[in-house]
Amino acid sequence: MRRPRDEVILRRLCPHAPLLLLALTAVALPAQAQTEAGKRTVIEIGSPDFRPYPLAIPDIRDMAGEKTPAPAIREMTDTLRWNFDLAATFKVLDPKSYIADPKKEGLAAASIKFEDWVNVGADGLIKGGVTVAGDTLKADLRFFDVASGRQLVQKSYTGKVEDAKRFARAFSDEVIFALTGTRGIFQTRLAAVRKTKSGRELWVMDLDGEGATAVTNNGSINLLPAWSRNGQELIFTSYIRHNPNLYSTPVGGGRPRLLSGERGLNTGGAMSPDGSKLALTLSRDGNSEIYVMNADGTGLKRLTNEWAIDSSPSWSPNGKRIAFVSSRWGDPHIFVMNADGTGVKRITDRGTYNQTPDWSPKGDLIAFTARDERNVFDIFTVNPETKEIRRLTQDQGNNEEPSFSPDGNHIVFTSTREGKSQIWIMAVDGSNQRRITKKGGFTTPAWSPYLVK
Amino acid sequence: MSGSIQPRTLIALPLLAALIFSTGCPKKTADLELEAARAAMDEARKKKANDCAQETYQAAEAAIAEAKRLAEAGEIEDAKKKAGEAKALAEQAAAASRPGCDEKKTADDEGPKEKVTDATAANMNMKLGDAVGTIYFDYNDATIREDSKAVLSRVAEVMSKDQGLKVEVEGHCDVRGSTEYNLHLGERRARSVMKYLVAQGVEPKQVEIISYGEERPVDMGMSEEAHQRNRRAELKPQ
Repeated sequence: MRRPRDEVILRRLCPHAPLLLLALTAVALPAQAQTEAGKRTVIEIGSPDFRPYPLAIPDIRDMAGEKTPAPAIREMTDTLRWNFDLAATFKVLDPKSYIADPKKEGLAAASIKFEDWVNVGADGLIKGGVTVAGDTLKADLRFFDVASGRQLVQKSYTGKVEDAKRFARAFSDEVIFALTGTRGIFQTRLAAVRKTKSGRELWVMDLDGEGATAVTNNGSINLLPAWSRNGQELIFTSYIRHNPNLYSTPVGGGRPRLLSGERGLNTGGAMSPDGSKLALTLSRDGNSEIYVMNADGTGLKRLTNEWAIDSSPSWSPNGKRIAFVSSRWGDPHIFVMNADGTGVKRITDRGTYNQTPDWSPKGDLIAFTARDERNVFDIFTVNPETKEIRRLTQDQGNNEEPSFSPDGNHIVFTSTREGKSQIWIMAVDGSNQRRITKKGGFTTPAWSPYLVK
Repeated sequence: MSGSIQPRTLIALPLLAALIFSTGCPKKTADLELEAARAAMDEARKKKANDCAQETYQAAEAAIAEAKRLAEAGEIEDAKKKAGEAKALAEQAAAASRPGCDEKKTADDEGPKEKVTDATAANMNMKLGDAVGTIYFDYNDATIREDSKAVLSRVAEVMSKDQGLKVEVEGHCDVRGSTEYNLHLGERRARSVMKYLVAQGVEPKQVEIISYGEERPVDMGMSEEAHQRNRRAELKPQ
């Protein structure tokens, strides 16, 4: 029989690989449980005997043999380590503990003494060699299963020196996919609002907070960024023409396009998973209600009809349902309805102030912000079927505005635990919380969809 | 003939009783409102409000007369409302009254008591000058508070006399809560103000509303006082 534990593992790692379940139960518990079925390894969060997958990432070698590797090579090593530290299912082993001789060991499996890596406790090993010539960079990156000594991933990258991080991210995603069967998130980005002296502008940045660029720079108030499904545009509310209209603008720069300019508020544009529809909140009929329209702006249809505030729609991954906030029972709570507005159901039974629902891409959870009895805001998840609630943050300032990573394993949010509002990322169970930004003044982060095909 | 009348009477009697009952209760309440308004008027008179805050005092007097007329005409709900206005105006007139005063000065002096920001009022169009300002709201609430009604009544009075006057009502929230929900809450506050003004005779076309949610706080602090200062609607002449 299946053990419930295995189901957790499956849901987390490999929702579409029933073969893995068989493999898991068969292999049972050797530490490096590599399965024959899919070369995938047991990693499990949240159970008492959870052990993150121990990964060794020795310094990427400068193949030109320079004593001090080029900065780009250093950057590549750092990015790889940072990525796998972020992924809560991994633990990057301390490089100081490595005993293998980097001079003697090459990149090929044949030249690697795997006992040395077994002895430092590694299940996996990432190795790389890079050649920098002028402004060009050539990288050879590999991932090995330590127990079997097998090479599971090998990739070669050629580009400019400034591509070093990009290559490291791409390779990280390859390793995640090889191990778990789901796509890695390291090539996704974050959008957020940044407070400026004159207003609020939209920014995008990489997951490590680097590469931050302004998407709007109009001096007006630009709010509530949401990604288009193809990741090429941001949908947002702006006061640039006085009335808070909904616009869409290319992430790489360009003119905003008006999506909805109804009198009053046009907020919370959320594109349906298939990209065909846009859910939004309008106050044009004298009250804040949720509407849905075709992506081209035609066919506007009202979904809610209540005296209260209805806002903040978030689609279920199958596009059949919409989570939203409503104060129809007095205090704001999280509700769910069918995509045609029928079958409204209240999801949060507890608390008095629940807002900002974001439906996990896996479908099983809705993350939201709740104010607790001490008037502190924290992030919670709720299962929309069982209404089971889980608290993810506590006693660390105010934590708000959660947004799921496209793999559903991580959540980006804002926290005031270090003073001003900054952007943080955590695992979906609340573990492994880390700050992303280096300056304050960021709000309403939104995690992009997968950006690389 | 009489045979057909009798059953009708039988039906009509309980209906009549129900009618008396249903109108009887609110009528009593309207009397209470009128009584309260009269008491407030007495208080205002004692403080020489008819000298110090003549316009407001007279407006209160007119409102109380109107409330009485409405009550007698059976318009109980309207009478109640009007009596409430009269009471607020009378209280306002009383509060504005002290020795050596005049209407203009007292209107300015009322600011702190009714939480009208003078700084905002100073920028106002002269005609609306004394009447416009900022009103405040309770947490997560868009209901017009009692302490705001006098200010709004004054705005309505000026605006209803000159339909060329226009205001934009800005709704604002404190910095707690989500960006999006606060945008909608702020708009609800602005809309409450608009509805209040319209109910008092201002034409809907004279009032525009806009919400800035929590994006334009006047106080960056995190104290309860700071939050209160940010939960507001600002009336700005256009």
